[in-house]
Amino acid sequence: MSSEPKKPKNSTLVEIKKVISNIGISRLIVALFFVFLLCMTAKQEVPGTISNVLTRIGMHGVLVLCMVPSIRSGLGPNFAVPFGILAGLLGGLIAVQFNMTGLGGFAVAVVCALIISFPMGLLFGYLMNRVKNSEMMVATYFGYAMVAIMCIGWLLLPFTNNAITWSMGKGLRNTINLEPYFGNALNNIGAITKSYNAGDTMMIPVGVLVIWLVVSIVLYWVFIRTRDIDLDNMKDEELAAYNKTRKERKKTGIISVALITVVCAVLAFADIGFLHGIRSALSVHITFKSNTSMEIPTGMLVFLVLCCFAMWLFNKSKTGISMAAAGSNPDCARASGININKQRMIGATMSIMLSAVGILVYAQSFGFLQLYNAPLNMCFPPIAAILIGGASIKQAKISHVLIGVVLFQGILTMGPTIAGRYLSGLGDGMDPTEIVRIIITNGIILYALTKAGGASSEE
Amino acid sequence: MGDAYVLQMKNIGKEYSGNPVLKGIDLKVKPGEIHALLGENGAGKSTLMNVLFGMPVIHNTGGYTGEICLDGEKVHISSPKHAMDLGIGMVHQEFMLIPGFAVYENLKLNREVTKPNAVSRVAGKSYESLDNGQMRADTKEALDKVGMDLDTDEMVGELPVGHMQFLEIAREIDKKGVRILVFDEPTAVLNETEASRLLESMKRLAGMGIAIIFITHRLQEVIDVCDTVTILRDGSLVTNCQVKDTDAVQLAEMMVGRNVSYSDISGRVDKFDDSDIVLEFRNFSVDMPGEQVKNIDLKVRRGEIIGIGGLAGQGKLGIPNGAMGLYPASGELLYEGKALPLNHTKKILEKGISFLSEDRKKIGLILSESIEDNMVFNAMQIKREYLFDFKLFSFRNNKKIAEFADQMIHEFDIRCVGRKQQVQNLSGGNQQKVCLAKALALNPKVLFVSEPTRGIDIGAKKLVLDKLKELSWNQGITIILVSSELMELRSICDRIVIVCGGKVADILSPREDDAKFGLAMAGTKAEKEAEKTS
Repeated sequence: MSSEPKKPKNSTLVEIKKVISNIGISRLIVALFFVFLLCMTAKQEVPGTISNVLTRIGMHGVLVLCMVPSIRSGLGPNFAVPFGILAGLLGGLIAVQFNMTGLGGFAVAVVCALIISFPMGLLFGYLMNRVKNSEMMVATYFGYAMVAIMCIGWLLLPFTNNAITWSMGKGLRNTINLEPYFGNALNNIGAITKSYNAGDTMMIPVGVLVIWLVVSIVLYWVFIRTRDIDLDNMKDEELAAYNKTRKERKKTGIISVALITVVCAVLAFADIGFLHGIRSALSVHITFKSNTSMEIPTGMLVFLVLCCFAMWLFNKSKTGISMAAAGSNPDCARASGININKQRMIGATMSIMLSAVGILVYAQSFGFLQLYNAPLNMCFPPIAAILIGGASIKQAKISHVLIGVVLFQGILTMGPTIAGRYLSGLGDGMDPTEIVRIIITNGIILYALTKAGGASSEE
Repeated sequence: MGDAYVLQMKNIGKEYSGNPVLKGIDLKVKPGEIHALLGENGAGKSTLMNVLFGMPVIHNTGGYTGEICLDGEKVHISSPKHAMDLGIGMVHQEFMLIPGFAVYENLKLNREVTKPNAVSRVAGKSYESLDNGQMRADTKEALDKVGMDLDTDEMVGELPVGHMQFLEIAREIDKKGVRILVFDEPTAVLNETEASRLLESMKRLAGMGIAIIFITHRLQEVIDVCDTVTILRDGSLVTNCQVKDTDAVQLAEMMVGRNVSYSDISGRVDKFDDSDIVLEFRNFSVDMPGEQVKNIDLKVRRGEIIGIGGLAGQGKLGIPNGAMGLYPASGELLYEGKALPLNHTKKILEKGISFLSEDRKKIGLILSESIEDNMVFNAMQIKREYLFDFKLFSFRNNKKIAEFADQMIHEFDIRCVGRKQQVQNLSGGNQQKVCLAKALALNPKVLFVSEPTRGIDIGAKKLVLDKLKELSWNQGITIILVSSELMELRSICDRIVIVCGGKVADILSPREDDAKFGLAMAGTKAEKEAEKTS
């Protein structure tokens, strides 16, 4: 230890290692698995897979997003998501009770859910301020306990719509069909449906994608990346010169990445005559053997993006910044005159309210409101998703949400079909895909939780 | 003659990665002698004791030079266990006792007296049963030696703090063959009566032929009980002498003296007087663990740089932390003649009082955030600056933030690859500059600065101090500078307050004699004055 630090022999290798540790080894493995699954997806399944993956991303996105305020305010991932979900379910039930349909029905459900979840969030925040340092454990028990209590609640609530209550006896149904009400209300806005008949062909511009990826990485490596330099042992002029060239280099890099993106987009999608040949050469061609179709739930995805944007904006606001400070360094925030408990309250309340909205987005796409024990299953997947996305239990960004939900839900959607293809011989009474789905889900959750340190954790 | 010494440390040297921290130290102790080891914080006392105890921190960093002789025999002490076997004991400053155990159990912990039983005859020595009677008897004996009358069965957790120190000593005595005992500031946590009892028992132990090395900051105690004294300063030996040949003033001078050249002192001694007071502490107490402030009264004059010095643990850090509301404070704090709400950080910051914390990693900065975000954080939260302010929803104004950050990076010469770099990747000195920029972003009228140069390199040190001076001289900001480096205080302050035991010991001009500073730090000023008047 006492000897001088050795000069690395191969600095490129060291830098690559640094990049990998920045990405986070766990995230890298999951991402590679994701790419592997993409490659394994059989040609015939492509349209179906795309619709499934996008739908599931939209369904779970807001629930993953609700982890952001809770992590940033220092509560850790919100393990009390089921608690917030109860508010969402109540909101949905109110809309159904008054026979509201379509987007209006969904909007009413969301507003009701927000109104109900606000005091619940405050209650949760109050509780979290009482149990500092064991937030995650207490939140888990609290969420589970509230779901159990609501099991009684569902039996007693005075809803009268026949769609909600059992036809005989008291109480509400296990699942409530949203199809006649606001099922798919979001999904249907601007939804893109594309049908393919047997014999139709489809071109996937894989080649263009690969070119774009490779060129972008090279540009990043050459121009944008921050180099490993010895700040303290550099001469002033050297540092000044370095910083000057760095700024210019970065600018060049960003402009070239933007350029190559535009070029690739044109190459892949633009309808210009002489490009067709190139595109065709760079694409994988699929000829369908049977009728199939692809659906893109535009409305739901746009809703997710809007939610993410709002959250991003909040993170840049004065309150958002003070909340993050209270979360990442309470002592420092206190010295700046910030009321830590208030910030934690804000984080908890936002998280609970978002999870209430999240379940409604989920339910409208799924087509059913699920009561009783169903909320329990919604707790761990969003946490696993954001952790895989690169968040830690102390830091979370919007990028972590998006990367996490794409990787997690993508793998969950593609994994079982592909594995099922190889396991189909085993199916005996039980659907092998379902077994595999359970194994993969829990596997990823476990893996994500062991990597709770997040991307680029300090060494 | 040399054989008469029980311990001789000859020409001890030690360096940590090239920085010499001990240079040619000699120390000799005779049996039955109480030997004082004096020096400021960081003078090298602890390192010297670590060498004596063969602490791993010494051996892991390249060992030491020079030699240690016990009873005239050269030894190489390789580990604390080895030191113990050689009969060297240590009474720690922090108590190493288990509250839930009885007195005798603590005393005999891991050295239990056991007697064989049926099981142990088969299963081995570790199954022997405890001989509680013998252990109680041993404990009683050891406690008697220290002069302590205590029930051996009492729980340690229920004892007053003062008694714990005696238990620690009794435990060392109880170890067989103790020849040398080191007391590391044992009186720091004791009240006066307890301290005098401790000194009594030290004398008694010395009477039994045990050599005692007594580390303390209280010069009066040295005069009272010690026979010989060794003074260290900046890792060098100042003197070995007989206590009877000297007095407290001389000792203080030797402890602090650095032959300050007067050109280094820039204080504007006569410029300020009590007619314009910006901040006034009245009967001000702070409950900061380890840095208690007890009922101080202090007036800060507008525009001056007032230094607060003193030894570690005497309460100097408590003053800024209490004033800013980071630790519970009581009493009165007047700003511009009006009482400030105590313990309400936000309101205090809003008044234009800013703080540069001594703990920049924990309190000063958010390490995972960027340079620019750290710099404007307080200004944004307190003064709503650097924002697009829509009252209810206010968003960060990236352009203004960037302007300010770039200006500060340039002005302070912060070494970074850009304002968006995370502060955790900066060196200590550059982090401190970010902290200073953060405090200045608030445009403070009064600035508390706590240990601004701790753990930063010389270049950054100079820059930070020069900047502080400039702020006060050119911009009229009142600065309250807390530092454990007296040199630093004397170089830029206009007045220096020395605190001791949580109280103001003395207020001195930076041009005052070394001895006065030394005496004030050792808390002997009051006694001296009492002598004069009587």
